[in-house]
Amino acid sequence: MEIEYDKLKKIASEVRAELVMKGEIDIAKGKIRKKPRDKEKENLLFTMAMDRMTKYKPRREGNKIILPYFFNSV
Amino acid sequence: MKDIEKLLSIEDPVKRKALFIALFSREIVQRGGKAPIIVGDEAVEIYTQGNYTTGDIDIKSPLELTEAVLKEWGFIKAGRPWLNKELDIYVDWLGSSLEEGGEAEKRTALIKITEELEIRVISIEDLVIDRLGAFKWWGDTDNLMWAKVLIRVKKSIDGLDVAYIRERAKKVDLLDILEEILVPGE
Repeated sequence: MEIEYDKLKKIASEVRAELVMKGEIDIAKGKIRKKPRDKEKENLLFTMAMDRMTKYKPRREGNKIILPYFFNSV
Repeated sequence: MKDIEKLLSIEDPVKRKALFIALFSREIVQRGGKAPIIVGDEAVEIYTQGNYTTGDIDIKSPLELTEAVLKEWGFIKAGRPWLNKELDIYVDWLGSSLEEGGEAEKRTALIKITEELEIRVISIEDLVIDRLGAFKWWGDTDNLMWAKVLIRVKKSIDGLDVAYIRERAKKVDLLDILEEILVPGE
């Protein structure tokens, strides 16, 4: 079966909104992960975060912070 | 095209939320309110530049103005959060000021999104304490790692205020965990 990405995204977003409206999911509760990740996975996530920081190096400009991932790209 | 409509053309939800916050903040300030402060998971999403992702925007802002602007922009209230189906944006209003107090408000960071737009976010030091609290008191195991990431981000910008973060950690009984993740000698 072929599923178009955009169609799937739209459906997922609509279902989510419907469930929030009905009070069946509580987005305000946030997500709590109780199960510890294995060390390898945790290291991978940490490395990915560091790589993004290196690629989009944050900097200070006066009293403001520039985060290149966002700055002038929105 | 109204600024808010620009959001519809932004595919990346992380960037769409960031621009939404910037436009929303400008609107609140233009109407005479105090600039909203982004806290919680959305603050982590911003500082990690989308490496961490969340579904909703946790915000501290003046209630009446917040409700007025969100209504005008097509948001509807679903329990506590406000949602806009078309934009796929959820806003969770958490109060009008930081629970951490006046010092934490003074330390909030201004992040420039464009030459004209900016967003105010809780300081990394205060956010680290928030994450360590989630780890220690709620058993949220991932948050210890995100606290480490945030510390690295702050160091790369202009250094971590170690004295302040230690003082905050001491007050909320998190010093033991903080010391574990601070590099020795700091």
